[in-house]
Amino acid sequence: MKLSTNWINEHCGSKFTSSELVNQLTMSGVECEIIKQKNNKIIKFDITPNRADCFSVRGIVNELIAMGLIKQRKRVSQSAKVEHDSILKTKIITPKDCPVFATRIIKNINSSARTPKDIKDKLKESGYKSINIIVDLTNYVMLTLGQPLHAYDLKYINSPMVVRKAKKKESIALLDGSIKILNENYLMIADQNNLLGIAGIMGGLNSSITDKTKNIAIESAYFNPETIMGCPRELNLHSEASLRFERGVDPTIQVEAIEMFTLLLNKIAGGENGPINTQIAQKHTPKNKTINLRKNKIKNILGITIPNAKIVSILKNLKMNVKENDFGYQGWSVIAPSYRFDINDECDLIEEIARIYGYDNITESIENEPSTFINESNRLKNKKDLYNIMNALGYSEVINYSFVSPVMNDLNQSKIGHSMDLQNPLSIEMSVMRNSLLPGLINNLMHNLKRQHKNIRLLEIGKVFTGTKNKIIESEKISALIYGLRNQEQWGYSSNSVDYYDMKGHLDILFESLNIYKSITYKKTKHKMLHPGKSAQIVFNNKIIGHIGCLNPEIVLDLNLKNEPIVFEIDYSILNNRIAHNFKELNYFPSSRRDISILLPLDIEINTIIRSINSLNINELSDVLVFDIYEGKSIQSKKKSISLGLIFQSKSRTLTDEQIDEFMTNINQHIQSNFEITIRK
Amino acid sequence: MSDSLSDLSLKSIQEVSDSSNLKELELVRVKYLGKNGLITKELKLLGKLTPSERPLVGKRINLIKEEVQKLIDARKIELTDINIQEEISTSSIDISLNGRKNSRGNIHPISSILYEIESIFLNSGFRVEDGPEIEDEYHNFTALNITENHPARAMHDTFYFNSNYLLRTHTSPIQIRSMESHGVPIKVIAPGKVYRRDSDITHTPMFHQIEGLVIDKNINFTHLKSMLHRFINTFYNKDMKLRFRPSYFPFTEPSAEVDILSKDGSWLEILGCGMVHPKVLENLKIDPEVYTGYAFGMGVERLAMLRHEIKDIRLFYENDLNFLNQFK
Repeated sequence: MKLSTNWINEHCGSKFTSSELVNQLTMSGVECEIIKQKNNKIIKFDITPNRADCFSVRGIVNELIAMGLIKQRKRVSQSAKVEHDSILKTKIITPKDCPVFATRIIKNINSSARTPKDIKDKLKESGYKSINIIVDLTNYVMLTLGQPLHAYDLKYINSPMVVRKAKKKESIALLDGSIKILNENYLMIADQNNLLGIAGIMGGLNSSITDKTKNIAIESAYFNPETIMGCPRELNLHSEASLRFERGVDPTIQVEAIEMFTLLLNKIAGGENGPINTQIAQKHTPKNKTINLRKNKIKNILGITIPNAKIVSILKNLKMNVKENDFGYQGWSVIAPSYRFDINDECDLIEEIARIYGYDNITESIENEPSTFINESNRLKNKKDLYNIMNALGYSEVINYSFVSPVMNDLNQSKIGHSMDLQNPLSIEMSVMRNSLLPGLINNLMHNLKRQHKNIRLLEIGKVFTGTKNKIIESEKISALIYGLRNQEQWGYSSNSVDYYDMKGHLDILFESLNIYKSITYKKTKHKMLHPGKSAQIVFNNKIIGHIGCLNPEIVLDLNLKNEPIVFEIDYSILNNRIAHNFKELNYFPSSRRDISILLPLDIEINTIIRSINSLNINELSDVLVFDIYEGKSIQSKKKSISLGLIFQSKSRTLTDEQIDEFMTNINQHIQSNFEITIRK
Repeated sequence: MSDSLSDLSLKSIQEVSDSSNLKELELVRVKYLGKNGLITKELKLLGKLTPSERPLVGKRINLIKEEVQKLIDARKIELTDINIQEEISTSSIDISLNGRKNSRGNIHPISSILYEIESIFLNSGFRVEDGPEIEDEYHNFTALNITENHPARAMHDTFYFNSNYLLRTHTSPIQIRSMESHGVPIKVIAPGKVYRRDSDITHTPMFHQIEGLVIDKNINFTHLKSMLHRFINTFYNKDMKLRFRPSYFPFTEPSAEVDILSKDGSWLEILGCGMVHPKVLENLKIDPEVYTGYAFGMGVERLAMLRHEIKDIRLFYENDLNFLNQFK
């Protein structure tokens, strides 16, 4: 809603500047700002959904009164002269939906009368186009009082007028030219033959006012907000009327609004007025109940003591009916004015007192600290360690949307459960919840390659989603992608491309920091996204915690990538398996190293040899490292040569050559009898 | 005999001092003092002398030997020093050349602000709670006093899976869930992703919020004001001027927006807050006559945009390294 400062001042007889108004109203909770380009004389209001009463000049002025900036003025009610006795017969079928319905017939209007400049200007400043005198005045009254009016060309009404629910599949052509198909939820204004409009939302095209209209019926109603609520959204049809009816208009001003309209119309365009036909269903008109307001509850919520006199004056300025009471506590019985739909309970009154008293006048104080300490360092420590390691290894964190295209979800291995599909996605590209973070990382890779980045390392932490028959599974993952050169291009470094083992090494560092490195094993696996020969499941304590591998060559080809990206995705929960690093006594005895080279078939995993050596449980064997691998020329085909460095160290003595020779003999015999291998001298 | 010994002595002394490097010096040492060195040889010849001559000559040779050894040691120190000086004076590198490195990656600016806010509240005794991103209507709306027809429930604003399940539109349901599981008193913050059906320069369909909730006996608005003021001062690392301005949220009453005074003198909205609505407490079977509480919530993107002076929110989700690498 937009209103000119001038209009507000005129209504309350004051001379506020725009910035005075904006500052004061903002601090009372009416969000507003000056529209800069129009000489700072127009204010745009952004009314919160609870404050239906603020959608008019009168409503805004009521706020100024509540803040004590201006005095209340007595309203003088004026009535237009009644010149004939035609009334529009009306039948309210569902009075619960329409508790107040007032109409008046006005005949012989001078249809060529023009809207006066003053009214035209005000409407223009509020963003309304001038249409004709009748429509302009309905808008003018609505903006002044907050009561939407609707004018019908009498010629097209076949009375009586009926207020009823729509029938299923009924349809109507509306003022804005659209045609809506209806259902039983909608309240309609109709006559004997036709639908005339959707109550509280928009009038129909057939009975609309034209430049030639001479006789009209003007309607001023109070519709139950609950009847209207939701309908504009369903129809995608938000009008100035629906905005107000949905939130609630003052149920006591229907007649006043018709009178104001009539007086203005008569003055500008003449017309002969009939009596106002008002139908009120008392049973269904909203009544503001008496609320008990306890002084100690005010203190309990706000934490400060406000003097009684101040409380009473705030409530009275809000036009509340206030009576002191004493039901065993000090307090008041309060009835809110008819237009305050948002005031139903004690807490609503306390908020009113607080906002008018001024939040800035409420002091600050520190609550009692909790009696227990909270140690939550693990949560942040896990994050921090993960970031430290991955950032140091060159990975930058990305955050992708949780929804992806169905095609991206299909890239991932099908798992138990189904994908979670949005009913109302923004687009097909964002229509299903991701079941893996990897497609997102691949997207990021493609984006950054286009931006001419060459060496790309990405990390994402986030949830993936699947649905099963009876529940939705959300699990948090850590995923990463690596692409390009091992070392960024610079002098003094050769530039090889990264491969599977670079990324595996990065995972090793992560698992070492958690002290679970020794409990992690890798098993060859088939994963739709990964290269069948260059990928593995990551297993921790017999549980698969994720995958690592080179991207499937078919995808690499599809994406037209020069190099092979390598990725991993592991469960975030692995971070909770951190084992404390226990101190081991330092060993000061010297270690000795013996190297052996083994010729073995290509399909034997090196790790099985090392595990076999370790299974001998030689306490003095402190480490086994692989320092060379060779396949190809000068080696038998389908074989590879590996060189192992075996480090021996005792905790209690310096080992002699003879002792180490004995260990080596054992080891050599053991692996030669267990594997088809040759030990090269 | 004695003459030849003096010659040998003079010659060796001369050669030691003539040696111009450690290698030459070592050759001189071997020549005179080695196993078959000239001086060593003289000692071996002692046996051929008469018993009366032997002690005298022997003593003399040993004196010469000691003397030469001393000179060699001294010359060695001299030559080593000369070597180092020469090494120092002749070798130098281009110190301007770039160091060898591989660049560090960085944390996403949103994560880093979330981390920072979590740490601040952890220090103030808050627990951190997570919750599901796919929520049900009850936890996302009903329990929070958001009525059936509230505009927030519209298909326009909320992503739905079916009539019951949706993507949470705020992190408030986490608070409901944590009250369900922990009861009161409670002091939690709930960070996370939230979703709204909106996309333009200031809205992305997914963004991050962090919300806080404190419920206990005797909690009131003055505590809310103080907690948020101390939080904002800590976050900005200086005393900030704030204003609390009345607003509306279905789940708090009184409700407020908090603005900070920016450098250019304008007020910037940074968070929403209020006293927990008694209906929310009642929904959770908590007696509002005994317990009161406050809640607050802020948009993480907004804080990040203000801090880094970013105008377009969509940059956070493009994941362009040229953008991400600016937040080292």
